[in-house]
Amino acid sequence: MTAEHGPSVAIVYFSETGTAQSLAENLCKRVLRLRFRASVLDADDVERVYRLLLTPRPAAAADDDTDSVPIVIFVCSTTGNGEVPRHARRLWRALLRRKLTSAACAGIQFTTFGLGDSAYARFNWTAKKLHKRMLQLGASEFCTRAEGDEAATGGIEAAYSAWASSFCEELSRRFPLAGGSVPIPEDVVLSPLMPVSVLDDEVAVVDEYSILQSRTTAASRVGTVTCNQRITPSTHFQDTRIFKLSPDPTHTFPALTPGATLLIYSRNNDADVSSLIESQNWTPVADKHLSVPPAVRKWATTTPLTLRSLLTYHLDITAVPRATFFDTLSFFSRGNEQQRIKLKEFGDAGNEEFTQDRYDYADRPRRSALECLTEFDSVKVPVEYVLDVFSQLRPRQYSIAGWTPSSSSSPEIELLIAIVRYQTVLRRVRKGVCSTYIADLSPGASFLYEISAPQTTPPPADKPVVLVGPGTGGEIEGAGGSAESVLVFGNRSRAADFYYLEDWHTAISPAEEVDDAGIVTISSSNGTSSSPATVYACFSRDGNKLRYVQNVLSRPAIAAHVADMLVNRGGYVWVCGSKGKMPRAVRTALVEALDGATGGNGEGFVAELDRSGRYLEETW
Amino acid sequence: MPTLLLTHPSLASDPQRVSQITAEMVQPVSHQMIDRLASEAVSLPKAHYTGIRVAPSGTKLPTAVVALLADAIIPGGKVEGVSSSQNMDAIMNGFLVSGSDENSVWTKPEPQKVVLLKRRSPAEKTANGAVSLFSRPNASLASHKTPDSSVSSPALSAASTTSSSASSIASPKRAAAEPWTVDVDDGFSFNDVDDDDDIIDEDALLDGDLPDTIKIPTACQPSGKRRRKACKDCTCGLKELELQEEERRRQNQANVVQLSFDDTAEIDFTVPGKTGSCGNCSLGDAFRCDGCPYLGLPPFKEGEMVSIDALGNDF
Repeated sequence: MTAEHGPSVAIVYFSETGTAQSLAENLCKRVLRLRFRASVLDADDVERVYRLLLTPRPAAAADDDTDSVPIVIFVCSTTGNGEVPRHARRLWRALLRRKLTSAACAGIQFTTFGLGDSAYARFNWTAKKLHKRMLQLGASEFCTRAEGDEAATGGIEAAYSAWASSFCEELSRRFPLAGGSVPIPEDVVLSPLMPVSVLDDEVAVVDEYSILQSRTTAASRVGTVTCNQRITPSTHFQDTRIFKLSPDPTHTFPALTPGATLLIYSRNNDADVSSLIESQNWTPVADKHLSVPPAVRKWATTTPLTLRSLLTYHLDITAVPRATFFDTLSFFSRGNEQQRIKLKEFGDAGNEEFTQDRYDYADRPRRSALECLTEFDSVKVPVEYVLDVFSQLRPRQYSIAGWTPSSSSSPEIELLIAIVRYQTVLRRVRKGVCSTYIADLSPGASFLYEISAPQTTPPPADKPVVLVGPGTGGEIEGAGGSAESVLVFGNRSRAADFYYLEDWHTAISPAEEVDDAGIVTISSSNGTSSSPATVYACFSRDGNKLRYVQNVLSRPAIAAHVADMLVNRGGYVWVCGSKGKMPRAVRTALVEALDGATGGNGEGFVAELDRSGRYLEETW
Repeated sequence: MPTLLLTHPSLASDPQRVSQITAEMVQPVSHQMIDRLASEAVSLPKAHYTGIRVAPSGTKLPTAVVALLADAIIPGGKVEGVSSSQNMDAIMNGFLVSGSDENSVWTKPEPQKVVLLKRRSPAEKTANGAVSLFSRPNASLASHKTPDSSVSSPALSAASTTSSSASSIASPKRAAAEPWTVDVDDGFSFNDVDDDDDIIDEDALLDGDLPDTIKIPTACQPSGKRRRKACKDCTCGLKELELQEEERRRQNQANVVQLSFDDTAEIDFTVPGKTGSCGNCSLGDAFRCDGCPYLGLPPFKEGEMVSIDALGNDF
């Protein structure tokens, strides 16, 4: 094989759910095929990325395109409401330092590819800001940037395919291969991007609790379950739990504020892991010591680390796979040409028809990576490629519903968790990997958690606040402040999942009114609470005409109440829950609700609320 | 000035060779084995060694070990006897790479004075105002060029160690060829998100012109024949239609399981040799046709009955 040529290429990803990471890895493979030296870096690897960006390099020689100036590509997601992904926050903060000069990053060439959703006002904000900041810091732009849009036809992958092809063309054009050498052909498998190797020693068996302890980091700790109780009736299809835990007593964390979330680290079950190991002929090496790249060791923290423990605690073997999974698998299919071709097709994200087929096969029925591998039984993945095949098992985020004060002798944190379980065309029931794990935790059990601060500062206690929290999203207990609060809540059935109903009756008023549209009102004007509070609730499956929180906001009396708080009394809006359609629908509903009070300028008023930091969203 | 000799375990059987190599190095010499480092059986002190030598020369190191060496060696220190095939790993761990293919050397950089790189000229506009896809580098030294103001590359003042307001972006200055010092590890605490370092207002980055983006070539716009999928939180009703379709399929499956007891020629797979007209039903969902009654069931061997037990007890 010809020695690598041209400048080195580093691809840094800012990823929240793994999509940006997956595109970064795909780009790296394309560049490696062109015989460039290329490598993928997590933004979380702050020291390494920082050094890469800021290391000064010797002045360029007389010709234009010098080999010694690395090219850095940022594959950059925007999450939440225009936010930087969690794992990229430290790096981003480091790059914002005022003392960095306009030549700090003059030692690199760069460009960005953004992942965003144009349905959001803050479309691709992270990529935009990053690109601008890099220019400010003196990095030269290697080629024009691109923005992928979830809402566009073809989604982000269509934009990525187009941009990646033109980027590679430009790379080849500027640094053509010399001496008759050609790119690595598409049918030749590349070395693994993240190779693992099995060390030749047996590993002692360790108990479950020690394993849990070994997985901790500075941020993630071992907590104990104190309560895990179903609060929806057994006749209701949704199993929702009150889940309480006591944190690690040695864990000091900043005081909890509304909007904070708890991350829970789950695991795969032993049966699934064993069946995967057997199907791939990994049994002889599955329980030996495993060596992984240092960047991986940062999150694959289990000690001792074996293939089995890697698969159990750190890899998402039940995730619905992306195109790149099938592409990798196609290289390891033996003796079944039909399967190999089909895998190659499913792996081709640039082809519209194949993408639709893959979507029908995997995405729509939510077929897991493990199930796909079982069906494509001609595939035997060599152990070294295990990290290239499976993505990281990430913790899931849950809104913290309540907590005891930190001064309390037995501190407790409370969550409201919906156990995910549903049916698709596949016979086997689909289950959420983390909520299923949680469902089986009894009081006294230990598990790994992390506390994540809210992305935005909560509203001040002395200002009125309109809380919109459908489902399990918005249960923020204890208004506490002197100002008025209104909670707009929505769910499926009053009898089954009107969460915290008893608490509202105790704290606000024992009485409630139900209007002709089925909307329930609990108001302190009828009750005993010291600070004015109102809950407006609606239930979509109780046969009501008006079913969602956005409908509640459009009721004239409620709209007037909300408008008064926001327009006349400097109130705040706080939307909590699942990202996507809900926050957008709520925003539209608010705009309409405020049209009356603002003389038809609902849109402008809400935009102003946003600009002045009075419109908050905690969504994930 | 301690140095480190890192050997492949095969050298353990040749103590003479090891002493020979050790004698050639700057004393005192520590000796470690690659595999013990890799399995975390030993650890190295940080920023300690002035030089590291790998023996036998050209031995490939596990990637994890390259990172450990980067931490263990002092700035300016060199690692020798390495394999040039790992130069990429070295670069990614902050080393500067030099030497030839046969004699690669990795050096840990020190903060150094450098001269400004040539600046590339920004993307040129084509005649109709659209931005061409890629910046064209300019042959002449760009140090005195004023960037095209319509594609702004706003620059902070080059000497901005003073607290000039960063939210007002200074007009692009002449890039003078004066040396500056960049101290990469200038005491910044990477672990502390809330440290006291003064940072600029990030939202201000969005003021003014943003760097241009490429437009997706129309060739990639889908033809529109694609069947639209329902969003996860669908509110328009498409999700309900999809669910109905799946329900129909599931009912079909129930019929299929019954029919394998009947002698229905078209779909009775228990009769050897009989296949559906397309022949793909047994291969799994990836190969089945749109209306196949077996959709949702796993692949099976022809002649066997589909065993529901194999799917687990999740019904």
